[in-house]
Amino acid sequence: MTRTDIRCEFVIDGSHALWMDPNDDDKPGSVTTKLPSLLPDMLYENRRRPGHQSRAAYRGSKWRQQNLHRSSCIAGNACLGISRIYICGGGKSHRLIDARPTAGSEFSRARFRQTRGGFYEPFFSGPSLQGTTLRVIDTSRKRLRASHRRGGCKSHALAQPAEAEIVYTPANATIPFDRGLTIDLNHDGRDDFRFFFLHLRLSLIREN
Amino acid sequence: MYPVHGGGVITGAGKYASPLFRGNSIGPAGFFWPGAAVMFRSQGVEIYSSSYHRSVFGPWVNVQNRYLGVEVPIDGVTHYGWIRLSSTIGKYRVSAFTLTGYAYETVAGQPIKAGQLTEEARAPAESAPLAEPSLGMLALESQGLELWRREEPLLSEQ
Repeated sequence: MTRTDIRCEFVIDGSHALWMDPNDDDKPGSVTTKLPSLLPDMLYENRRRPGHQSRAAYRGSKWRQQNLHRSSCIAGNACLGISRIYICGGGKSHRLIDARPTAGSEFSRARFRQTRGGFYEPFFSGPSLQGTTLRVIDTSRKRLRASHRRGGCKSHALAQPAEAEIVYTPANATIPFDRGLTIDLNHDGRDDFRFFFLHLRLSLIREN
Repeated sequence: MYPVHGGGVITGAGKYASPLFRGNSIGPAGFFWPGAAVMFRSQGVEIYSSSYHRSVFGPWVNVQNRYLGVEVPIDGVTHYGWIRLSSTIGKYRVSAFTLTGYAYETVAGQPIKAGQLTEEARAPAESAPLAEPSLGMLALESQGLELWRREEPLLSEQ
């Protein structure tokens, strides 16, 4: 008997971030086992507290194809620091994997505000990756700054926000597909926005 | 595109980041989505290892000097700004996505116009205020249609 499976891959900034097999959660390659080890190599530096339980809790089993679009959007956010990745499941509407940032971290506000538009589910307080710190590896900002120096962009360095004015930063930076790009809008040393590329690839696999 | 420390991006239908024209107002009246805003979608479907269909679509496909309207919290208060981008995106893949500048208003809560470079200059000398209807507008659905049908320039020059 021929069976068709659906395999879903998320390619973020040029690298495979997640891939999900709808029919087998336990075999190598499923998101259960790959997510914690992949994230440090992708966008985050993942630091756990010593001795803390670090295994992701994932009990999802079946996917529903019609929900893949929703999942893809959420997974994109998850890889940028939102604490939950929702996986569409069989019995319930969603299953999840969580990669929870430390309370009060730079992502806290964003993850709570996700619910405002009604698009995402409320925040999850599961214990599986509690204490995990997720930080954006900021390699692209260095590139952008280097680009500024090469391009002779000096206007923003002269601008001071003491009076009403517009601080303009010219740039000529191509956003690299394999790294994305972060920008510091007000030059306070903190990244304000991040561009990233997320490619969704669905594969229909025929199994005999 | 994602606001790292709070803030948000002006979005339209489907959480697509709106590609603003020069002169569009960015201020408290705008709807700022606090999460990741989609600029274009890239997806592919492989069918039984025999064919692969790839597509790229969204409001930021092949745009020149368009603006993201953003808000960013600074010392707990909201400031508004813009980010100017151009893209070269083919039917199947992204060729180039270029950041050409960004700015923010130092006075909290004060609106800024897309492309505005100084407090005095309300009409920056870049890009046309009106553009030809594009796939990006179509992707914006009703909002894009409004932009398309707009007859007057979006910015009165001083």
